[in-house]
Amino acid sequence: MKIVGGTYAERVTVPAHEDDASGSGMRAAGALGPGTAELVTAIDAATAEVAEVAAATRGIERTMIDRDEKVGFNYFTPVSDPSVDGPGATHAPLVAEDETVLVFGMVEHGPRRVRAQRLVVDPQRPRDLTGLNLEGLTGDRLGVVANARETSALAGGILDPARAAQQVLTRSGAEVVVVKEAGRGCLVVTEGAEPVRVGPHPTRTVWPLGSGDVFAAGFTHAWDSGADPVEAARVASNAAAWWCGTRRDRVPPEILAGVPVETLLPGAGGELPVLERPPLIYLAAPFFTLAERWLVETCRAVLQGLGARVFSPLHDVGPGGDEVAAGDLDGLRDSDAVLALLDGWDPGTVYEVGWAHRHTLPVVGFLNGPAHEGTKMLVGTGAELHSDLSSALYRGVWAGLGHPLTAERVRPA
Amino acid sequence: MSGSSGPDLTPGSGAGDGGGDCLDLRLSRWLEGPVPGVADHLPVGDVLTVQLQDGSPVIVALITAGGQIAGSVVPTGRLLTCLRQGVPFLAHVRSAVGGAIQVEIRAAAR
Repeated sequence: MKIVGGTYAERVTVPAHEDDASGSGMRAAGALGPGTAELVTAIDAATAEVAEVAAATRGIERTMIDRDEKVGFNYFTPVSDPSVDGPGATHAPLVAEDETVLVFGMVEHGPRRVRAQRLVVDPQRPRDLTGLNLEGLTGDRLGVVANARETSALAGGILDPARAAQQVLTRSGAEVVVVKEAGRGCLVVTEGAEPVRVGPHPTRTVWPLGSGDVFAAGFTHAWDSGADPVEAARVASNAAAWWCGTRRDRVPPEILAGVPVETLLPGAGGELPVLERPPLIYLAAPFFTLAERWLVETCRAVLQGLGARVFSPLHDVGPGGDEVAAGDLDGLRDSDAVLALLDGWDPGTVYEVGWAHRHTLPVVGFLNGPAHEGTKMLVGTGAELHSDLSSALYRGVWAGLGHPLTAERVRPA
Repeated sequence: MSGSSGPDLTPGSGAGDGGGDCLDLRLSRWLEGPVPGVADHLPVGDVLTVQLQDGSPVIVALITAGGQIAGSVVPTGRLLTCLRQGVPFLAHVRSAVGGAIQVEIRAAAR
């Protein structure tokens, strides 16, 4: 099996993270472990050494062709859209042939010739995607793995994931289209069969950057090993959960062979059933300063991107006087879970958390600031507190889907 | 300045093509290729030496106080540059669960 994909620098501001040799290709090859897949990637002169060292340390066989400049991704947080360094980079001719090949979309442009009996394509282009680029790719059997936004774009803007995937299936001639839906797992669409949803495996902490790469690697490896597309998607979901919960480069071979992640990773859950009705998350937060408002806007957008509906007092009731209280509580009453942004200990937010507890709503709290006496009451009454924003957001969605929380202060992996 | 053979640890010394300096560098890493019988005995709080070992390519190894190799880590270009400048780095064991060792790498305090 071969993996064709990028090797890119990756920087995150909060929490601080720095890797000069990450990217879809490198990460996917590392996830499968030594001797499983050969990486075909592009690298520039300035990055060549560190990429070689990283690949050797991870036990990755590789073919590195030249590119003309460095490429990197810079994120403010793991749930932020990145800025990209080197978007105009080009690579030398890229050639790969094997029984099974996983091809990631790359930032670099250049000629490629890939031939496989079983070809899996992950477009890796959340923006400006208008069609599936199969130029230079030949596969007897084709699988497409893409996130919901990409699938919608590939289908000409169809928002419903199942309909969009069916459209991509028809247009591309693929045997299977897998739509990754982040916190809601994935949808597997094959010709002539009903779409099958594979639920996520909740983990205590969540590092989402790169989870799609590990998912694609797990899917391709399992499909290559004889699993049917739905079984392969289940392996992929478990592999992605391992990555999200540990940030460890290598997925254990047991998980790649189909063992559920919860048997190896403490705190991970079994496959979470996903209702077609998205969970409603109440976003309890102050919104009086620019920083607070910014965080509310970010969390709302990310929760919606994770497939949840959001009741935001700011957006759904609005700022105002005493009259807003009843509207806020109406929204709280209808919600499935609460995500509370606790920094600053806003009285209104703390009140909403108490109200939620009294009405048995699960509460996930995000607290990035210093330790506070107030956490005793929250944790003591069942709230799960995170100092990591990504984890808090995902846990909020999963709580809304019915996954049990743990009453504790959770530290990031 | 003449006669200086030691590493330049002053802020802004420009190590690495990232432009940062070595003292700022903090990396969280998993121990790769843990050596059986060594890595599995590392307690949380233990401190290992980060050492650049020759080869093609080089390896960034973590060495125990007893001089044994515990495994290696994936470096950044900046870490490679700083190590080549002679800046000493240490790896602090942050967690050790089921054979998985997580370390934080930073320059040794002077």
